[in-house]
Amino acid sequence: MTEQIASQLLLCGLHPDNVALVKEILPRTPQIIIPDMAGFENFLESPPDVPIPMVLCGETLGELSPTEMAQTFRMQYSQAKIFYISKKREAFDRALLLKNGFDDAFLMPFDERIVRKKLLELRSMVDAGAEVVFRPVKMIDLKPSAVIDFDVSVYLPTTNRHIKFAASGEPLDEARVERLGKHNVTNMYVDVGDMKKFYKYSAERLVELGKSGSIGETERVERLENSVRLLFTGIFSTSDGESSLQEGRAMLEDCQEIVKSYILADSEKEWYKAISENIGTEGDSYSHHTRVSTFAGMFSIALEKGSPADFATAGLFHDLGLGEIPEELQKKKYEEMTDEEKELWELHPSISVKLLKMKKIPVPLIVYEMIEQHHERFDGSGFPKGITAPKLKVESQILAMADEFDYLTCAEQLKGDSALTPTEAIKKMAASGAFEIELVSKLVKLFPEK
Amino acid sequence: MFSPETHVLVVDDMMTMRKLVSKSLKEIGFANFTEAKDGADAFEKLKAATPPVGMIVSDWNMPNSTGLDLLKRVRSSEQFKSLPFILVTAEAEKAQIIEAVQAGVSNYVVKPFTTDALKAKIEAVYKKVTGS
Ligand SMILES: [Fe+2]
Ligand SMILES: [Fe+2]
Repeated sequence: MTEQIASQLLLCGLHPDNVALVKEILPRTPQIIIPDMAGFENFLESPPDVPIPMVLCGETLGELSPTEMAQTFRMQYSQAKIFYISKKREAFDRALLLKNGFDDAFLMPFDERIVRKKLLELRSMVDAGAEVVFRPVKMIDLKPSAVIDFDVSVYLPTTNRHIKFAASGEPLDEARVERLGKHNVTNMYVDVGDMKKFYKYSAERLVELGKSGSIGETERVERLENSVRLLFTGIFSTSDGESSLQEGRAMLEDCQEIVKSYILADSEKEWYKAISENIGTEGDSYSHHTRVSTFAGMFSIALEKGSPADFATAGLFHDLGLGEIPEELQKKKYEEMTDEEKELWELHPSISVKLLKMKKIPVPLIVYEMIEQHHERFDGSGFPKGITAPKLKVESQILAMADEFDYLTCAEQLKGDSALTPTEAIKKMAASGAFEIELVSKLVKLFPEK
Repeated sequence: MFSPETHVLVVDDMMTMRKLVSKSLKEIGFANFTEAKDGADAFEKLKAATPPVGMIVSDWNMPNSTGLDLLKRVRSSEQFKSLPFILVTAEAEKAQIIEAVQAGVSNYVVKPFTTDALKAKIEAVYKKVTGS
């Protein structure tokens, strides 16, 4: 019989409050705690030879930089998840921490929910001795007899267990799919190791639903809309208790990956790869430009207008020019700007285009047009030129809607006002008259009335 | 094969990484180390070392003067131009490795690495040098 060595958690320089949180959530998992530099030096001399699935680093070992911790633990435990958990807001730069080798970084208490979730995932893994770590996802367009190349589970709260809904490679059975619909189950779970397959599955479904012919047109459009609606529900759902803001962020990242797989399924869109990878290294997947890129790509897929690659690209670069506008201006609301300030502000779409051209990134011409026009409005109330259709392109309007949608639904964009739900945001946009009614009403359908 | 008496210069801006590299080198069989905290510091120590340094293991990304700067300086000096020089790189710098190869690096190892990986790289270097 082989002896089982218990996995242990390594806590290094973690704030006492955060140590307490870990102990609360994982009371039975043995923990190695490195409280100070002496402890760290001891650890370096003789690192314990036990499986370490997770290392949690914190801000209290002042002499030791986060980078140094990340690299050291990565050398010792190359397979472990290494996280940074800090309460020190001033010194917290998530993008930089990720770049320096952490798998993720959390600022407490804001990220407490996701930290709890990560620890719970670890508990289920360590307790069950299982290899699987589940990740909630939205499975779009599940149809009987479809064959999926990864396992999909559902969660049963009564027994606190995940049970397999579909086994990799086996066709879905009809009765089960029906039951899902009846119980309104939309949260599914996938092994984190299978996320790439999940992205591919989702993108393939969307591509398939974008082709007319194999099924009736009404059914096809309906299924396509339902799929995009389900993805949006994942990003924004907050009411079903299980979801949270952080989960929404994770789903947004998923949608970003799905849009990317969708685009790259088309071999003529290879150029997008270079662009998205270059931008991706900035590491901030929650920024305005990545969100707008993802939303615009999803709008394009759902409305079947233009090429999602163009939208995703225009989304990434539309506000590039803001970098050239004074910072104080960026904190002001448009309505509160003086005339001179407005004039300056209204230059940013053209500056974005200029900078993009300077970067010599080869993009289709329509991308320049979309960026140039992203603040123009259908009723002529936009800037800088106040143009309307036909000069104002449909593509530009869709990008503008993605931009406005993010502005209205994201608290950090709103400069003080509180964020709207997606449904409220779309309704507000429809009521404003600033967008072509035919387009905006199609978007309304993507967001359910609650 | 390399000799265990070889004096190794370990260069890294991070104290812990210097320790970890030295520890790996100890396990491989070396016993004689000097540590330096960046390229400039390393070059000073290289000139002053007794016994003379027989191999350099240097991190790439360091403030002030990088591992690549150090490599170029070492290679352009008559005295040290054929000294075995191993660069420790991060995943992110892998793309630039060609630059290091052109500058005459003997071998490189990507973080995180195991003692065995480092050992294999060192052995490969000595094979090249001795032709055995
Ligand atoms: Fe803008
Ligand atoms: Fe914007």
